[in-house]
This record gives sequence, C-alpha cells and structure tokens, in this order.
Amino acid sequence: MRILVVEDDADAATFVVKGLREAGHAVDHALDGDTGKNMAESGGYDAYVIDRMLPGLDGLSMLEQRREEGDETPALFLSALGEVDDRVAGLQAGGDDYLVKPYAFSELIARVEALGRRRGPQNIQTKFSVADLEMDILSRTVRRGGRKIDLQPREFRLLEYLLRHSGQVVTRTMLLENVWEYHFDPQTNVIDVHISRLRSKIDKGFDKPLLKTVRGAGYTLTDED
Amino acid sequence: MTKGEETRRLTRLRLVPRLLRTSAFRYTLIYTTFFVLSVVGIGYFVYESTIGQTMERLDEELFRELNHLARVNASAGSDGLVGLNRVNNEVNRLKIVQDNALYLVVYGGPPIRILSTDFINPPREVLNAGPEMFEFDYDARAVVDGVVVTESRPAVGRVATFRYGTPDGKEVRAIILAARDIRDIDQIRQDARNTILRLGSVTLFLGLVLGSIYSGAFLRRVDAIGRTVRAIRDGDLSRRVALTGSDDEFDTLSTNINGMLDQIERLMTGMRQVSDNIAHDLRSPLTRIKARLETAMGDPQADKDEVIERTTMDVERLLATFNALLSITRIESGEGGGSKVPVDVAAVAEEMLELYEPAADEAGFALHGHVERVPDVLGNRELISQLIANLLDNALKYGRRPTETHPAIELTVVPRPSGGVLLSVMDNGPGVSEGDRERILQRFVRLERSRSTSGNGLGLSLVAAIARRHNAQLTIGRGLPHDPDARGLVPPTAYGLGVRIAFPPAPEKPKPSKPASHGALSEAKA
Repeated sequence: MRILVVEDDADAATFVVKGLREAGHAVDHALDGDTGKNMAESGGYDAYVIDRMLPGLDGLSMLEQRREEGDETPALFLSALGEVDDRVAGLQAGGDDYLVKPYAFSELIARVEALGRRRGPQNIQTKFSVADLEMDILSRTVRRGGRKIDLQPREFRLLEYLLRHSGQVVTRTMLLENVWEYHFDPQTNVIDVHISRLRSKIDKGFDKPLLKTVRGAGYTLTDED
Repeated sequence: MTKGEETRRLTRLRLVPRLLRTSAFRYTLIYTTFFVLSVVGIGYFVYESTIGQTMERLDEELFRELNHLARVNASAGSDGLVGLNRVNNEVNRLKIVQDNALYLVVYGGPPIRILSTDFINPPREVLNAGPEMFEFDYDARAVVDGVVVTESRPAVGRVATFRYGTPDGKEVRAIILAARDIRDIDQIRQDARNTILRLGSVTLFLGLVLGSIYSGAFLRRVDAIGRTVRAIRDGDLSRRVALTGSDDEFDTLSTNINGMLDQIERLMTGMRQVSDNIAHDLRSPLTRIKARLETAMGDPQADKDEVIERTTMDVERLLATFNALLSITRIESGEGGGSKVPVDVAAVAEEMLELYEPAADEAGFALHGHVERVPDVLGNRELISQLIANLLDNALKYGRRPTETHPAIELTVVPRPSGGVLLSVMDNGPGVSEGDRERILQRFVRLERSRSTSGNGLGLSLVAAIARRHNAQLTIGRGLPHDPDARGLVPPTAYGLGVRIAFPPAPEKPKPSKPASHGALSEAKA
C-alpha cells in the first residue's frame, strides 16, 4: 500500500513512517496540512493517516477539502481528542477511522491495513473464503470442508468481519467497534472469550487452525503459518 | 512622623472617600436630599398660607385706604390745595382709630414740606416708591428698662401721589404714604424661617450622620468578607468569614460563602489525594520499568525479548490508566461524552449481557439478566454501555468469594415508579462494608483484598462520573445474598455488592402527533 502520513510531530512521524515501512508499505510524509493537501492532490495513495491538530490547515479541514474534490481515498485520523463528539466530528469530515493517542502501534498498523481493504468491489462481495472455510452472506451459511457450521448471529458477524480482513491483524478494539459497535476498552477478556468460542466452532476437529492469536496485537484469520 | 503613623493617616484619609463611595452612603444621601427638600417644601407651604396671606390682606387694606383718600381729595373738585387739606384731616382722623397705622403727607418740593407725619425720620423709600406695597424700616421711640431709645421697626406701606394746580399757575405734587407697623408679623415670620432652616439642618445632619454610621457598618462587614477572601486567595484555605449571629443578609451571604469555601476545600483535598494517588500509581510501574531496563542493560545474559515484552505490557497498562483518568476528567467536566439523546437502556443492557456472557461463563459466573421494557433516558449510549461494562468487569473481578461454589451476577433494568430507569448490577461476592462504600467510588481506591488482582482502581470512579453526567443517583449497597435459601435473620455481611443507578426520567418533549390526539380526546369529551 502507498500511504500518506500527515503529522507535525517529527518524532512521532518518524516512528509511524518507519513502522509502516517495516510492515511493507510505501510511505510519504508531510509535516503540515497544506503540504499534505498538495501531496494528496498528486494522487496515487491507498490510504491517508492524518493528525487532527496540524499547523496551518488542520487535519479535519484538509480532509474535508479533499472529499469535496471527490477524493475517496480512505483516511484515518490520529488525535489526542478522544471523546464521542470528537470522533463524530472526525467521521463527519470524511474520516473512515479514528484512533486516539496514545495508541498501540500494532493497533495503527492493523487499522491502516483494514482501511486499504475497504476500497474496491469487495464491499458488495457476498461470498468469502479462507482455505476450506466458506461463508455465504446471502444464505447466511458457513461451511468448513463442506461441513455446515451453526453460528449465533453475533458469531456470524464476528466471523464475517474476520473474513473481510483475512490475512490481516484485527485488534480487540477493532472487533468491539465493528462487530458490537461500542467504543471502549473492556478490562476483562470479553472479546477473547467470544473469539475462543468461535474458534472452537470453526477450528475444532480440523487439522489446520485458521483463527490465530497475534501476541500483543489481536487476531488474524489466515491459512498461512 | 514614623512610617506606621503615616500609613495609618493615609489609611484614614483614604477611608473617608471610600465611605462616601459606598452605595449605602449614596442611598442615604439621596434620601436625605429628598427629606430636606420636602421639609423645606412643607415649610414654604405653611409660610405662604399664613404670613403670605396676612401680608396680602394688609396690601388690600392699604390700597382701599388710599382709594378712600383719593375720593376725599376729589370731593374738593379742582379747588387748589383744599383737597390736600381735606386729605390731611382725613388722615389724622384715621390715625386715631387705627393702632398700627402710620401716615406721612408731604407736598411740594424741592424742598419738600411735611404736612403731617408719624415718623421721627421720614423714610427715604417713599420718594422712589412705585405703586406696589413695599417694606421698609422706620425709627420709633421705645422704652426699654425705663430708658427711651430709638429702635428700628419693620413696616409695609403704599404710596399715592396727588397733583394740584397753584394760583400762580404752577403744579404741586403731594405724596401720601399709608403704612402699617408689622413688628408682630415680622416676628412670626422670622420664627417660621428659623424653624424651617433648623428643621432642614437637623434633617441634613441626621441624614449624614446616620448615613456615615450605616455605611461604616456596611463597609466593615464587606471589608471583613473581603479580607477573608483575600487571605484565601493568598493560599490560606482554612479561613472562614466570621458570622455576627444577627442572622441578617450579611450573615446569609457569609454562610453561603463559607459553604462554598467548604466545598472548594473538599475538592482541593480530593484533588490533592488524586494527584498523590496518580503519583503513586504511575510512579510504581515507571520505577519498575526503569529498574528492569537498567538491569537488562548491565546484564549481557538477560533475555532481551522478555524484558521488552514485559515492559510493553507495563507501558500499555500505564496508558490504559492514563486514558481512564482522562476520560473521567472529561466526563466530569462535561466536555466529553457527546450530546444527550434518548437512549434505550434495556437494549444496551441486552447487548452488554450478550457481550459479557461468554466471559462470565468462562470465569465460572452465572450471569443473569432481568431486563424489562423501560422508557428512554436522556444520555449517551457509549457512556451508558461503558458504565454497564465497568460494573460487569468489576463484578467479574472482585465478586467471588473463595468458598463460593455458585458465583452469580445479576444485571437488572426496570422502570422506576416515578419515571426513569433503575439499573443495578449485583453479585454474591464478599460485598463491601458500609464504611468503604463511599470510598470505592474514589479514584485509585482499591480495597486491601483486591490489591493482588489487576486493575487500576478507576473502574467505579468512571461509573460514578458517568452517573453524575446523567444526573443519575448512584448507590452502593447490598447485592445478592450469599445463601439464597437462608430463612430468618441474615447478617448484613452475608450479601455481595450491589450497585444501583437511578436514571431520572427524560424531560417530556412535545411530539407533533401527540397534541392532535389530545385535541381529539378533549373534543370527544366535550
């Protein structure tokens, strides 16, 4: 993926740029909103990572202007302002995701990669599969190795999200936000238990586990080791 | 002059204009002015209706007398000075019957010849007098202690001028002055003036004196409050405004200020406690991290990966604590949490039950939900979900007794009879003693037995902050009984922890469809 990072804090930016590059992405960096806008205008990016507070043109306005010009590149806001209203403002400005500082770096990578997937025709895709695990959204059926698996409605949504982001790391907060639509940090392992229940249904009795835990980050659904 | 004396003098000097500047003094001054004006006004009215009328009567009398003399004069026809003679005789007749009457008849001139007079020295004013009545002083003999003296007496008079043709063809002018002695009236007049003046002065004086005393007292009370407030501003938060015990409006004000100060002091103490706690709770993990890193640096054998992993975990916990603190502060300041919209607490509770059920199950808890249909409350769905999540987290973490074989948690959402919603989360764990119930809502407070478990001591503080933000009443009390089959008396310690949150009813919003149906209803009734 080609990613544009607009962040005025040079240290934080270096860190983000380095991390994203190590994760295998091409990264450009702008130090303020105006430069960021100019670079974005030249096009060719798969995702924007924009700090909300920037010198000159602030992050919200920058994205708003890009959206007015028809730029639909997915964007993630980084912000120290993390209350509901702030998040709503960020999404209203055209942001696709909102990450509150301080954040875990694994969280940032996971979310940026999820952003890249959001584009394209996969949104209207109705069938997903990883290895021999298949899901049909329309008939609401899940099969593995041809055998039908019964899932609760929530488990179905959980698996759907994992399948939509198969091969990527999804964090617990991403799951809570996208599957349950809540934004908070549960102190206990509520998500882990849901995952392990799902895992027992889709992986138990099969040779190859697909739903894997990524230490310190989250989960991933993949058939690679 | 020593410096102290000088300062005192300056203070005194400055005090005078300050006294004048007080609003109390200004009001007194305005009242006093009105009072003096009305005293003078009344005095003037009384004066006019007594002295003024008497003087008018005198004027009338003199006018008629001179008319009478003019008629006498005219009765002689144009016969030389005969008319003047008749006038003179008439004047002498009039004088005999009237006590206070004074006359002067002169003619010719210059030099002027006096035909008849009651004056020792003819008053000069006569020559220049106009047709109106005028006042003048005349000299008269009086006896004081057996000695004859000349004294000046007040009088009023009117003047008439008659003209005569003499045989040698010249014209002679005669002036007749008819006057009255007004010693008595003048005395009364003087007295009245003095009385009014004295009344006015006394009123003014009393006004000023009372005003000063009143303003002084006012100023002293305000100064006392001002001094206390200044002392507090300078850092002495234990100071309070002294009460006089008079229970007046100043005492009420002072009581209110003292109440406010108590509240501020409480808050400050709370803040200090919080910062102490923050210092403690953030410093210990930071110290741990530092020690671990230093050890790892000095030891080539150290397992670097393990050090990094453990340190990352510590830092993540620190960040979580930090975020939780920030959320509490923002929710409490009303800054965060978004705008309030109608929220179906029952729906949120159902979703939370669904979210937590597997975790509770895995932890060996029986999680029961008792969720009824409830009216919407005005609030924020995210915050309410966070509140329920924290209560469930809390129950899962601390709601188990080592001996309990059937740990249970019950989440209840029911409508309140008075409107609004009652939400409660109860467990059958060890409970919290009454003395600790207030305390556990405070930031970083963790009871002794929970020290060993993970957690930052902010969960219930966040719950309390969210409840406050929704104007909801939070109570910590008994939860589920340890022995559900127990009969008879059960000791108060045989219950788990119960947290109840009473949301107030959402204010009625006029819906466009409602008034129409109401209208139809009342029409049908009519």
